[in-house]
Amino acid sequence: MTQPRPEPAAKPAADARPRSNHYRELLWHTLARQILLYFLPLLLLAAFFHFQYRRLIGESQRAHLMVLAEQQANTLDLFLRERLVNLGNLANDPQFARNATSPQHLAAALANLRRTSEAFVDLGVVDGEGNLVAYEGPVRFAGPISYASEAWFKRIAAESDVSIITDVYLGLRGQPHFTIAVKRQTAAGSLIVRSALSPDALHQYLKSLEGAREVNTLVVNADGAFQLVTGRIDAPSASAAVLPPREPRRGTLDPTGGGSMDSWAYAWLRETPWALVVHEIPGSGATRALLGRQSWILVFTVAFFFGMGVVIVIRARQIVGKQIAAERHEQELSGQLAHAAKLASVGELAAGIAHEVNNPLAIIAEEVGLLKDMMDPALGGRISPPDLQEHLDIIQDAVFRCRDITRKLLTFVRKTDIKIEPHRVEKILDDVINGMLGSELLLGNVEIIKHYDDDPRTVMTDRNQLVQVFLNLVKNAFDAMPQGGVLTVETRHRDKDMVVVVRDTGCGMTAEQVKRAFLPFFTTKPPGKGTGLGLSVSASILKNFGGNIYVESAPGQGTQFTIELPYAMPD
Amino acid sequence: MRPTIKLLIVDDESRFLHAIAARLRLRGFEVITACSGAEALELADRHTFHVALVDLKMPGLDGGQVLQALKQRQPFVEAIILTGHGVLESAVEMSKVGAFACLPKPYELDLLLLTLKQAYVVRLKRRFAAHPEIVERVDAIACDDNVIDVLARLRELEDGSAGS
Repeated sequence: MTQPRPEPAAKPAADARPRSNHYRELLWHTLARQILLYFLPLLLLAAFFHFQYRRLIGESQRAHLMVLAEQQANTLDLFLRERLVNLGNLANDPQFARNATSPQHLAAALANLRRTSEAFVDLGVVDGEGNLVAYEGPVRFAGPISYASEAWFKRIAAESDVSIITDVYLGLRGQPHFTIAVKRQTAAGSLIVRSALSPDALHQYLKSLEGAREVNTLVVNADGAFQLVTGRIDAPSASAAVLPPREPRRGTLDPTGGGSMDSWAYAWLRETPWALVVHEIPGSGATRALLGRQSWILVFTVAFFFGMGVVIVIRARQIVGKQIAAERHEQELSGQLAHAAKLASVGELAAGIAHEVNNPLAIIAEEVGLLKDMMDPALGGRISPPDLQEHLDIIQDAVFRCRDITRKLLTFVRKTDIKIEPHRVEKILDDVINGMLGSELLLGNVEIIKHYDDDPRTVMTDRNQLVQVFLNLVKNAFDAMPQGGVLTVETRHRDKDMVVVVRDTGCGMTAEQVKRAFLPFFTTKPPGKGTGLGLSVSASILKNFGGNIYVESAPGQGTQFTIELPYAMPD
Repeated sequence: MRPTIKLLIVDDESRFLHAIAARLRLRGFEVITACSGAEALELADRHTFHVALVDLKMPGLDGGQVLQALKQRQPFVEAIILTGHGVLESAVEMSKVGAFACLPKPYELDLLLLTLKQAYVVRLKRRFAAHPEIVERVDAIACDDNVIDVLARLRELEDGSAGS
């Protein structure tokens, strides 16, 4: 025996929920799908370009800063070298060496220096032991001054013919300054000329450099202590937040980490172990232009997405509208199909019922004829009231028989609304077998065996439609057994559903026929006898009830239909 | 007493059977009834029938089967099939197995009598196919409109010609 699980023959009936709900659900579904389809890749692309753009901006910004830092470092180097050269020229001047201790001379020299740069604050001459031998400047010393313990003096004392630039320190005056010193060997011993330079001047100088407006500039020494600060970075403090690495000699810094828009660049000076660090003032210059462009891009992207959203919504509404229309059309078609099938099976039934009606009609005709005969003098013409009564009773019986048959036909044909009520399936089976086809089955020598489950549980279903299903199956079974046979009807109750089995001992079906059994318009009956709709409509009815129908058959071995019917209708 | 035409009527509807039998008896037929095909064939072993009226749809043997079995036992018997079904389909099918006619239920008695007459004429013509002069006389008698009278005369003709 083959055991196919046929595809549902007809589409399950459309959603019974209100159309607007169904419409909204469909719309959301379509929208979600479209957005996923179009928005997601676009969004990913936009995000990708956004980050790429930011990265590029950051890179170009850092490159720009690095160039700036290098330029400023070079300029600062140049400035410091000039000051050293100024001081060196002074030290090399034999006339100066000779009159080094003369205050007038020293004052004139300082004035000369200050003409080259405002940065020179004072001028001092130090001997080989570190004692300040002559001084010209704003400080009035109370006693003799020795630099012997100063770090810069120790460094300069160890060598000859050197120049030195100190870090910025508060020094004796309590004013931040740094010292440059030049040592020359003369006949009279070491001559060390030192001068304090004001960082303010340096500061002003740095601020006047090209591109300085876009950035904060700071100078840190090798230990990371601030030397000079311009702009709005935190006030000078002992140690800076940033200490650039010694190698490479120039580069970019990312003190906050993680690709923020805060960019730093540095370059080490050559003259002294200072690093010049530039920090772009956020929202200034080039960055602002680039960022501005980016915000425009953002606006355009949002506008584009909005436009696409509108298009998608309009399109989705169109699609859903079309789908709803198609569904409604399909629903109508399926309704028409079901009705056609019903009419067709009514037609088949009508043939059977005509026979049922004609028999009592024939009785009536004969009885009436007989009564007439009895009253006919030519034929004898004698009738007694009891006789008359008997014949009239027979006629009445026959008339009521006719009425019962037509009533059954009407129950079947009458267009009734679908009423989902609890029904005992066994009762419906009995009604179908006894009421509608009993006499026909009897005539065809079909024995009927019923194996009903005792379980009294009912099924929520529409009686008329279920009757149609059973009628189709029983009729098919009957048609498959023209020579008579056994029709077995079984019911079994299970947890969530019940099983109805309709089995015949008829001619059976080939595997090919079994495969196509539930297809609409497929029939094994001769042309004009069957419509081929019975099983397909039965399958679709059962699908609507959340049930299923299977067929097992083999040629000559009969056919078994198995129905699974849940106790409750699906939502 | 005039010889009568012997009819066999087979139908599972007993009330119909009784009524039709009573009416045909009133018209001078000898009627034997059977409620089923099996009973009919049993009767056919004991009686010779001229014409049989057989219902098509019956439990057990149906009209067609009864007719075939009957014809085997009595080759000259003519059968009229009575049916509540559509006539055309049954008629074609039944004529294949040798029914003379199919009569839809309910029918007018006159039509039944006419059909009986025709069936009987055919029976005589088949039985006396080797005697053209008898066939000629059958035709002559059959022209008359009074069915009961014609049948009685034909019946007499059959008895009278049986020896020849």
